[in-house]
Amino acid sequence: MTNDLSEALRTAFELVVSLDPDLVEIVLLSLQTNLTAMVVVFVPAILTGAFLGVWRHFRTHGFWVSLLNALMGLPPVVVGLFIYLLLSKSGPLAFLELLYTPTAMVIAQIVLIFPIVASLTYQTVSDCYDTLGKQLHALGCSRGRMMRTLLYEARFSLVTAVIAGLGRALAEVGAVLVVGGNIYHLTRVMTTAITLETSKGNLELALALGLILIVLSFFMSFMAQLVRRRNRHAHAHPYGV
Amino acid sequence: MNAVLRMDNVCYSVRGRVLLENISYTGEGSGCVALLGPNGAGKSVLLEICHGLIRPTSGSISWFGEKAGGMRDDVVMTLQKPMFLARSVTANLNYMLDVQACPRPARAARIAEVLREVNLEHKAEDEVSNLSGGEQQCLSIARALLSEPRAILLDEPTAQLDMASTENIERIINRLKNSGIKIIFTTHSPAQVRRLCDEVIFIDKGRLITCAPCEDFFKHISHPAVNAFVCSQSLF
Repeated sequence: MTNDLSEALRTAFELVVSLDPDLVEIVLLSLQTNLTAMVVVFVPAILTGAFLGVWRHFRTHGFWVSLLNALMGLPPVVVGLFIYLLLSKSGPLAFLELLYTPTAMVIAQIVLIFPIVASLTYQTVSDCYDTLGKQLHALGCSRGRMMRTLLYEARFSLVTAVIAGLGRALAEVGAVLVVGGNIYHLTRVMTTAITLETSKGNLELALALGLILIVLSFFMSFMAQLVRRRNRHAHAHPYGV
Repeated sequence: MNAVLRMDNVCYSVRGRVLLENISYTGEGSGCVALLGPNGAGKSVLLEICHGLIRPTSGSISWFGEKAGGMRDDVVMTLQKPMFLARSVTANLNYMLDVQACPRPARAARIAEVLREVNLEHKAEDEVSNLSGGEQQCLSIARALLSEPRAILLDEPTAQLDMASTENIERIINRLKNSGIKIIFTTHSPAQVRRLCDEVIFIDKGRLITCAPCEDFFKHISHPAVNAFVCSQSLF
């Protein structure tokens, strides 16, 4: 068993080092879908979070914040199923013919990432507003300017929010499997490929993909840590007296 | 003479709790007015209402003969705990000028001018985090001066400051007073009121107890709340 595992690991390393075409294709598609989802989500999610963080006194504010928090914990498979129903032949969006395409996977990831980034942005901007809001009001800042200022002041924490969203997208299996179908050369991404290759007993490719996933995950954690450390350094002082 | 500040039956309550009750006052000319009173009397709330930061539940405020519907450019306020952006002194002042849409070429000279007024020229490029509490209060006043105000409201500008910093702030307040700016500030210190003020408004439990020229205020203390407060503060 130990020999099998070490043999599989050795082959996995070889696959990575030799840039195996299948492996590269899967990794690139994963990054493509994840980054596309993040690019699409980035501005609206950050603006939504910042809006809720600064405009607090409208009637349904609490509802929207609770909704965002609840959506953060959405079960990915249910999201996948919901999007599947929308895009399937009998669904209302069937005419778009997006089911089992990378676009469908991007849509699923958008639905999963948006609440995470928006909610973390809300928390960050809200904390910042608690500290600076009254002062900015006293200086005569409009709400729009206040939102821009707080987003800038909280920029390091926002990077963490984005990295958290990317991490979620990267680790996502259920939703992309349902709407993407894990089709070879079309919608096979790292997580779905690992699931499939493991069930087939093809541990080498599964391990190689797993290694890359772990490296990417570590890389993002490292980046988040770096940003947090810089953030701590930048705000190591109180803002005021 | 037109009243600089006029408050008519100003009331403020939050969730049924009355914080200010029927405050009426008319202040004329320049000079320095102290809002004196114990903790929780409602001094800061009254100051924030005067500034327009919060709206009174009822009653009205007028500045320079005009009814105030919100904040005005010529009436500025410094908070008890002034907050700054995590940037340099100059960048913080530059931000304020940006809020006021001040033309870029005019900014450097304006910043240098206000820093000179509060004796912070030598700290222009320092990070705000490296300033002492007293220097941050000075910077807060400098930031307020950027608006070229006709009146400044200072919320406990010398709270938790050492003697040297307090003296520096008082020198600045005196200078501003002499330049014709109306100054209203909250304080706990009767001694400071004697040093700086022309007029005193004493507030206790949300009510205006007395309002008098400084000398008269200390000569004829008749109200027991004022007497108790002044005596207790004199012990320190």
